[in-house]
Amino acid sequence: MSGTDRHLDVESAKRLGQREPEAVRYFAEHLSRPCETCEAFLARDEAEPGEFPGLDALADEALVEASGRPSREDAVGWARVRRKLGAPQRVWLTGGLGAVAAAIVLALLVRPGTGGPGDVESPSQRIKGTAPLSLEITAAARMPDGTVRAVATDAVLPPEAVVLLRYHASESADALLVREAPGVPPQVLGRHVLTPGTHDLRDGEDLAGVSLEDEQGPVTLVLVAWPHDDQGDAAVEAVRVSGQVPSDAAQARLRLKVESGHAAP
Amino acid sequence: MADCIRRAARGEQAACGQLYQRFHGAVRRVAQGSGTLGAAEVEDVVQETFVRAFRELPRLQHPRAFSGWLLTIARHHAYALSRGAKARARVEEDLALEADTAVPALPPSLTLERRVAVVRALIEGLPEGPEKDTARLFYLEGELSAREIAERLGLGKSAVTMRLERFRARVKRELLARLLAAEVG
Repeated sequence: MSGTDRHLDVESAKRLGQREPEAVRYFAEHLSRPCETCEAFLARDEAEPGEFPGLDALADEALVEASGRPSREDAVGWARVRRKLGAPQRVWLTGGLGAVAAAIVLALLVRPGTGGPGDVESPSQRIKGTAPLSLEITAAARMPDGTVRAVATDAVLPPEAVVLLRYHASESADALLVREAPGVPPQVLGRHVLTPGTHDLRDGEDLAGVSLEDEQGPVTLVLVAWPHDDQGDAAVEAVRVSGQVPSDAAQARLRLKVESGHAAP
Repeated sequence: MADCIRRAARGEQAACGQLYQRFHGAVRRVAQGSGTLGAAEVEDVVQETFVRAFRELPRLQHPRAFSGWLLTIARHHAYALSRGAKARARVEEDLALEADTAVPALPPSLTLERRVAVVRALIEGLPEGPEKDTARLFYLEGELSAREIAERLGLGKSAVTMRLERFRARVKRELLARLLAAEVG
C-alpha cells in the first residue's frame, strides 16, 4: 500500500494513539477531505477501548447543539430520576439521616389526632403546630396519559404517576420531605426552604415531583417544616446532629395507595 | 456550570436538577438517533443515563468534560438497549473506563461553537437528497426522532439510523483531522 492511500484501521489508530509524528502528520492531511473508507472505520460499533479518546463526545456535543433548540422543563423525567436516586440520597445526607427520619416519624406519630379522619380537609390536610408556623399541602398527580389531576388523601394512583406537591406556609421555613411506607425505613426525599404563601414545592427552579415508580401499596408523603432561621443548611444539619425535629415543627401528610392498573385518582 | 457540576458531585439535589433540566434534551436526542428504540425506551435511556451519571459524578475529574461524558453514557445505554445482553456487558466495561478519561485542552479550532459550525457546514455541503434530508431533519431541526423521520420520508428505521451514523462518522472524521492538525501545529 502506498503512502497516499492509507486509511484508518486498527493499526493506524494505535499509531495515532501513540502520537507517532508521521502518522499524525499523514492523517491530519488525509482526514481533512472526505474519505468513505475512514468514515466507515469511524462509524463501526466495535471500536477498540481507548480508541480516539474523547472523539465521540466532541462529535455528540456538537451534533446535539446544532439545532440550537433549548430544552423544555421536564419535571416528570426529573422526578423519575430523583426516585431512582433514592438510596444514594440517604447516603448523601450522611449517616445520621436515618435517625433524623425516624425522629420525624416518631414526632408525627405522637402528635394527637394526626391522620385521623377529623384532621383531613380533602384534598388537603391542614395540621397546625403549636408554634406560629402553619403548614398545608395539596397535591396533584401527572398521570401516564400526561394529564394532571388533583389528588385527595387516600387516593389510589398507578406507579407511573408522579406526585407534585403544593404547600402553604405562614412563614419562611426549613423543611424535609419524607416518604413512609410499611416495612421500610422512612426515606428523606429532599430538603427545602419554604417561603410564606402558597407555592409549588421545588428543588431550586424545578418542581419537586415524587415518582411512584417501583411503589406498591400504601405510601405516605410527609412534609415537615420548622421556622427558618438564618442558617439554612445549618438548621437541617442541627436536626441531623440532634436527631430531633424542632419542637415548633409543623407537618402535613398525604396518604396514598399505589396500585397497578389504576388510571385515575 | 462548573460550580453546578461540583455541587451535584457533592450530592446537592438542586444542582442535579439543574443539570438534568439543562441536558435532558441533549441526552434524549442521542437516544432518539437510534431508530430501533421506541419512545418508552428512549425515556429509559434518559433516566438510566442521569442515574448513572449522578452516581458516578464524584469520579469525573474535570467539570468541563461533563457534557461529553454524559452523552457518551447516553450513547452506550442506547446502544446496549438496542443490542441485547452481550452489548450490555461490553457497555459496562466501557463505561467503567469513561470517567478516567483524560480531557486534553481543546485547540481553538474545536471549541463548541466551531464544532457546531462544522456540523452545519457538513450538512449544507451534502448533495440534495434523502441523506441530506435525514441529517437536516434530525440535527438541524432537532425535533423528530429517527423513527419519526423514517415515517415522514417513507424509509426503513434502520436506513435512517444508518444515515445518521454515517453522517456522525463524517463529523468525527472532520474533528479528528482538526485534532491532529493542531498537534502538527
